[in-house]
Amino acid sequence: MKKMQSTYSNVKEAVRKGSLFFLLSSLFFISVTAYGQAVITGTVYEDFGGAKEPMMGVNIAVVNSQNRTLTGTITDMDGNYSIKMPQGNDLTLVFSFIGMSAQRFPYKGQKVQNVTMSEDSQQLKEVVVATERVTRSELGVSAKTFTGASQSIKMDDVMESLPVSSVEEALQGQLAGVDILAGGDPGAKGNIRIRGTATLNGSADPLIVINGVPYNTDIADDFDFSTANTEDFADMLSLNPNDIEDIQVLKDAASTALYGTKGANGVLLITTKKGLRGKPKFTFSNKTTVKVEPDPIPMLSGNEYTAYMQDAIWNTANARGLQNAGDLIDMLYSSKSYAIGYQPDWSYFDEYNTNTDWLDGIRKNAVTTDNNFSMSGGGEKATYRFSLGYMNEDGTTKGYGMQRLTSTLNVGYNFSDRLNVSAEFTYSDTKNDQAYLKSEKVRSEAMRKMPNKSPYYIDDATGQPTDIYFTYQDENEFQGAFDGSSHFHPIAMVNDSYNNTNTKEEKITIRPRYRILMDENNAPVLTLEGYISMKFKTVKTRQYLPQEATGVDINSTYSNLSYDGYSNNFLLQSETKLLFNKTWLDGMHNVVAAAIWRTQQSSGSTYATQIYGAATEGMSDPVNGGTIYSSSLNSGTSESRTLSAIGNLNYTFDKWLTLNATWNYEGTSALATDNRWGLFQSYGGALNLQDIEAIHEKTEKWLSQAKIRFSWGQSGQAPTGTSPYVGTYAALSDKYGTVTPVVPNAMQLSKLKWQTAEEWDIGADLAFWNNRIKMTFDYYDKTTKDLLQKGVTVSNISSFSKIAWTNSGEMENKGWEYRIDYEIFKNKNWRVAVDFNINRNENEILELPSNLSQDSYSFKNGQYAQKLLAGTPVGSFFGYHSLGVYQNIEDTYAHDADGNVMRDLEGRPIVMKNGTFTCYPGDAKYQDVNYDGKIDENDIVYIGNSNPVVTGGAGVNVKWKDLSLTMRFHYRLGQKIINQTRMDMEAMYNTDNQSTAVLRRWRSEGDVTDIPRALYKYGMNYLGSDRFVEDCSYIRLQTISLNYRLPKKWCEKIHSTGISVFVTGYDLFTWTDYQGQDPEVTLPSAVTDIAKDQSSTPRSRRFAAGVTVNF
Amino acid sequence: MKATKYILASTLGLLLLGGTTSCSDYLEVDPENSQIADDYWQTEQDVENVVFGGYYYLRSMVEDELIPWGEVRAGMIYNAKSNTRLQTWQMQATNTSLCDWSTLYKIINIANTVLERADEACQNDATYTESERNSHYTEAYFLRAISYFYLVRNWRDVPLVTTAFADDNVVINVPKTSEDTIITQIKSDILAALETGAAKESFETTWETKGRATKWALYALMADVCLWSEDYENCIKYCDALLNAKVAGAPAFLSSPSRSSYFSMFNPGNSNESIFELQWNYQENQTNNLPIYFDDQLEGKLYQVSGEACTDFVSEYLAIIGEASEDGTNLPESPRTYHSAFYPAGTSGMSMGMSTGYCWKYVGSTTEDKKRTSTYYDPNFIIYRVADIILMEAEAYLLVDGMEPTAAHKLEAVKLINKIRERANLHDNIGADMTEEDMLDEVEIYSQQELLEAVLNERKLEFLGEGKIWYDFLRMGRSNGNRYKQDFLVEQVVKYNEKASESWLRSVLTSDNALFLPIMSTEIERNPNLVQNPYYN
Repeated sequence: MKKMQSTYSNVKEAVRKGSLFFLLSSLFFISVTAYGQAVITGTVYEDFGGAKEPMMGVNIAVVNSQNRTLTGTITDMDGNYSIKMPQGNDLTLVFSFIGMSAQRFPYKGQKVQNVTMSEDSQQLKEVVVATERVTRSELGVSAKTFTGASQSIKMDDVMESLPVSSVEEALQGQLAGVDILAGGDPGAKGNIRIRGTATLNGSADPLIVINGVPYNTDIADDFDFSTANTEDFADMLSLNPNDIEDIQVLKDAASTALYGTKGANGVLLITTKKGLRGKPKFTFSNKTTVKVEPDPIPMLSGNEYTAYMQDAIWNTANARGLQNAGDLIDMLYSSKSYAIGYQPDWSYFDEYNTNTDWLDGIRKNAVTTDNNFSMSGGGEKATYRFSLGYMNEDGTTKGYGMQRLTSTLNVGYNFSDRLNVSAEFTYSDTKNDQAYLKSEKVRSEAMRKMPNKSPYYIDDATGQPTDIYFTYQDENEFQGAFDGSSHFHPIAMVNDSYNNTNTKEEKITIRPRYRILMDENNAPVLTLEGYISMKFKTVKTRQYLPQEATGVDINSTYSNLSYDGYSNNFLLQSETKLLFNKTWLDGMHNVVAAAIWRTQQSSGSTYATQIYGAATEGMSDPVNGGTIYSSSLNSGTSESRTLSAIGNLNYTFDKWLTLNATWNYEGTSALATDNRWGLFQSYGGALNLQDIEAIHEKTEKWLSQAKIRFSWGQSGQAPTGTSPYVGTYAALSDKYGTVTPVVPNAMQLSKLKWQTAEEWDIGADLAFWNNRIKMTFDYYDKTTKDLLQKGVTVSNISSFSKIAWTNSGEMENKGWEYRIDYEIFKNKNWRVAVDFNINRNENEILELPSNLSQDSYSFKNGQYAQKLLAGTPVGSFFGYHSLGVYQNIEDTYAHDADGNVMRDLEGRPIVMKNGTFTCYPGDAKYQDVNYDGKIDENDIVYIGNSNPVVTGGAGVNVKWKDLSLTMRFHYRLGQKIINQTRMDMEAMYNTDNQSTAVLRRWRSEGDVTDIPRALYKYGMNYLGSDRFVEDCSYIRLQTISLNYRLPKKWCEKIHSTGISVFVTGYDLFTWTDYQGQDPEVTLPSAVTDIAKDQSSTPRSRRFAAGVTVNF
Repeated sequence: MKATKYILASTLGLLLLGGTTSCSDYLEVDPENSQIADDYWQTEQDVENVVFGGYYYLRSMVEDELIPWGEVRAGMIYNAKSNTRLQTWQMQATNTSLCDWSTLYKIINIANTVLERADEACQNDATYTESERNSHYTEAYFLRAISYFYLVRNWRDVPLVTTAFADDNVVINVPKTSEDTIITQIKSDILAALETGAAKESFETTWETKGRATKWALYALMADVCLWSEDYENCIKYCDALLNAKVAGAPAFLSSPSRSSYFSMFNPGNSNESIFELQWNYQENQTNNLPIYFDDQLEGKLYQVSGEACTDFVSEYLAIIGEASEDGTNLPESPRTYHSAFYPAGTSGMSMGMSTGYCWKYVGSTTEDKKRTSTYYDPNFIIYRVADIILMEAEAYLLVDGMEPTAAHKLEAVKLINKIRERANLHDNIGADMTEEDMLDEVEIYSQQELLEAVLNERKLEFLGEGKIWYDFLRMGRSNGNRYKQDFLVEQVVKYNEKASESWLRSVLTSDNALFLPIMSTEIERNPNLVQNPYYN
């Protein structure tokens, strides 16, 4: 039985690779003697329910004992053929035609061979076999004997019940230990973190491996599209989820070891679909999604804003003393007060006395369509799969959208049983449209924009807005002139400016595989395989900022600014792999070993130019003239190379005990000779208790699996960039006399070395009652040493202000993961299944890197302190403890530690001070931690942390006949965030428009409120305090989807093999106390930055409907 | 079949084999956009280019560092556009632009690099002789010495770095070293340079002779350092070495009391009197802002001459012109006042009681009313010229005997002072028209302090705008254990500096520590071994 299993899985492997031929050949074991140059002729017929008809186009091949084709021909119109037999022993004639089962005839010198072909009855069975195959790693290690922590999902299962449009979407909340935050803009990159963040400066993104080939996402490390945001694109975007067969996540160091150091942050293994032998199959699917944005924060109307501003200015004038407040009085009553006073004579009076909802002017509901087509099939020798997808996603912020075309072609060809070559071609073309500024900038501008200002000129005659933008935006304007990122016309910005990026990516992978040795069951013992993969990626960025969006002077460098940037990257990867797999003594001992040699070479070049003063939008290409903005000229090249030698040994004893060891010896061009090579080892073991004979007998009825795993492994991370360690000199642009000076430019970094991590993982996989309940639990502890620090500032004594990289600091991530799948009920018509996962990750800085300052804080409104201390997690907030508002004079008196009012020498009560500002009723009240009567740096306390306590997801799937209902939940609990948006909307400090919350502001004694009085550029009423730190825990109904598979009978009427339709709702309900628009806030890209909600486009509610048709 | 097998097997074999032998080569990727340090030192020109980096950086400091540091604290010239904390004596470690020493350390690193690696080029380039290499060494020593000299004069105790920061094995976080040690280092650098015997007396072109470190520049710097460190005998020795040089082309005092001769030092520059001056050349697109900063009629005007300094110039002018000014014809020459070193603001001309003026040295095209046009905005910045050496020697003679100079030394000093005054066309000099013997008696009337003050007065008028006067106040004030601090430092600053209140100046100047700059705050943050200078912590 055991032996059968092994063979069976090999067979399935073979079937998957499309080489059914191999299976058949093993059934015919015939010895043939050699004959001379003979010719064989015959006729091929097709069987039509007993009637025979000649069949044209049938393939006839003469193959040798290894199934390698020596010669061949095809039948003519009458089904006749003739073929000259080559020299050789053991020759076989093979007759094949797509959709027909192949026929084989050993050549024994016969002159004539007639054949009758019939339909392939095995075809359906094969498909079933293929989808239920045992997952095996690239090394031929089955999931069962795998010692590491991993989890996989089948994309078809996901797509069937939950139509998603990106890989991130598919994975969110699905996988234990994988934390994903997705943005709201089309094409916005999500954060993917596997088991937390274990680096301070290097990339924290996991490695993506597609069909065994690492998918390198680097453009050029040292390239800085100063305004472009190429990094914002989802790395996996160019991959169509419909083309994916399954995704496996490798979490612990031991399982990622095989992928070398690039897998230090975890690995996502993606396997794409391949062609299967059989009749051509066509699939067409369409999905249409409507996005509806959640309600925004209600803002003041024009009239309310005017009243509020006047209140604020007046309060400040009073606070400063009227004799010192001439400028403020001017703002209210003189001709300077055009925008906020009442000046009907002013020419723009109409334009400044409206009620404008600016946010409404840049938002919309959006529609996304996603169409996919695929065809696949294959014959005796070759299989193919082709797919084409086109997605058009519209953003809920106007001017933002994305179009993506993807196409893939997979072909496989069996030269013989031993030699197989397959090739993959993929091409994707992604256009990402944005306004010149990022959506959060545009949105925050729309929110802060004075609502009494009209977006359009108002016709003096009719009093109605015209269609000409009112762009009055110079320094005399009430809110000030454009400064590069704020003070612009948001509607003109989204409508007329653009920042369009076009990413084209072509990839070709060729992979030969040769089986050197086979055992008696024709299972490969020694295999040599490898691949060569080439990827070419180009990114073209075009930006245009029309003058009417900013109102700047025509000579400004922002006036009709036009930017053109281009980057390309070529990636060449190769792998040579020798695999050994042998079983001895009836399965008692199994050894799987591999020796792998990998090379990777990435090179790129970039260029960028920018002009201003372009004539018109149509003439905005920089070649058309305008003034070149010299500081934007940029070009560069980059190159990096990696080599690695990996050895892997996997030993299984009697099916239940597996030991594993991996050694990775890796070298990188980013490190100097002495530290270039690193050896990373990992070891693991797995115990399949259910397979131990004694246990198996007792527990057979209820225990399906009881596997205990442990592993320990190292992984490394190298710095990025083109040989960043190399010391360089650079020529200066100016001369001294007639000589161009050359000066040291970068320091040689001889000490720079690998960042290394060591990780323990202990896990268990349990399954009961024939896999009805499955559970996985993991505990891990990962310590990262010699953290890579990028761009470290050093003392000027060195003559360099920065050093490209250093190693410093130590960090720990530990946590646990748990997942359960429970099939509650199942019968012929019904199936009810639920799953749930929960994860906890704790991060701690063990040793603070020497370049990071422990504190960075300046006593200012809106500032939070950053404290990085050894022994604390990254992501902590420090600030003041808010106590609301001083309600009256008595309330403002300072109190000592005993609660008594503090008095000065003359016995008068001491009034609290916020910094240098004496507090008055209506001012913000903070806790005076040190009882000195003054709020300053010394009163800062810990007020929260942006790391969630637990994250995870859950799912419910109910099936009744062909109808299935799926719900998925995603949750993150216990994390806090600075609601920067709300802070900006309630600060009442400058000319920004505010939310309607400020209508509750303190105005006079007796007002019971938590919102301080309005002050114009005065006071300390919005210090970084816990007032704006909010718990953004949430549970979200991420998707709810109803899927119906049409009855077979109906389908057959239109010659379809299956039709399914679905309706899905995304992000329909969110349970949260968070006051911002969306609690799912993407984390800052620099790990050490403080997490803030900065009004980026919130995730919308989405409704989708779609259909999938198979032929 | 077999062929395929062989191809695959040999590919694998090659990869594995190749791996062991050429892996390191494969992983050696050279960045394309910059010159790799280890491959750099090939030819003589390579060395020269790096040496020039030192001059380039020193030149880059003139506008924003050398002039403010040397002038605005004293107050004879002040920044009229923004009242910087440097001139109000309220410096803080966070005023990064005015207490940033990074460029000086860049020069030091360049010098260290040349000293460590120039020999590599010597090995690689057969035409690059050892004496040429030594000549480059002397320039490197000079650059390192002058950088440290600026550092000690502005910060007193600073980190001492004498190895190049070639790679990260070199310790970056160097602590401070005492002023004495730095001075010793400076002197040993200059001596080392002179010992090579390769210091040039002149280069092929004039601009190089004046714009690069010659033997004369080394002498001048040594004299200056010795004067600063109260090593007066050596100061006199090196001053003499320079002043008595009989070599053709050696710097020589332009003694003619004529305005045009005097002004030729500043335009066209590179005069015979010059010893070392930083070069600009409009023909090579090298211009500076000095003609703008010192021109009161331009929007970008920055540096103004204070009222008291104006008075000094007007006094000298009137002393020379005297009654002659009444008729206005055949005026005697006044080489260093009106439209020469100095010109009055507005159109009022030179008159007593005027309170603002500007330094004409960088603005003028001639001694007449003509200014440089924007094409010719390339005035050089003189660091040493012979007049400076003459006054250094005078000062040294007055101090070499301690508190009480001998009559002979007083006489030497007076003769030197007179040289300067005579060129300025001043005639009421000590012992004017006397025999040497009579002069010897005459000088006895004057105390050390009076004669030092005479030296200082000449320095004030001679070097206006040349970034020196503050160091003169400081040096003279500190000499003889602060003996003259009150007169030559405190009272001078109080007199000239009109940008800070007198009471504040008197209070801040009592602290000897406040006379030096704070270390920039970011430097303290990045280098844990660095302690903020006293007074600022």
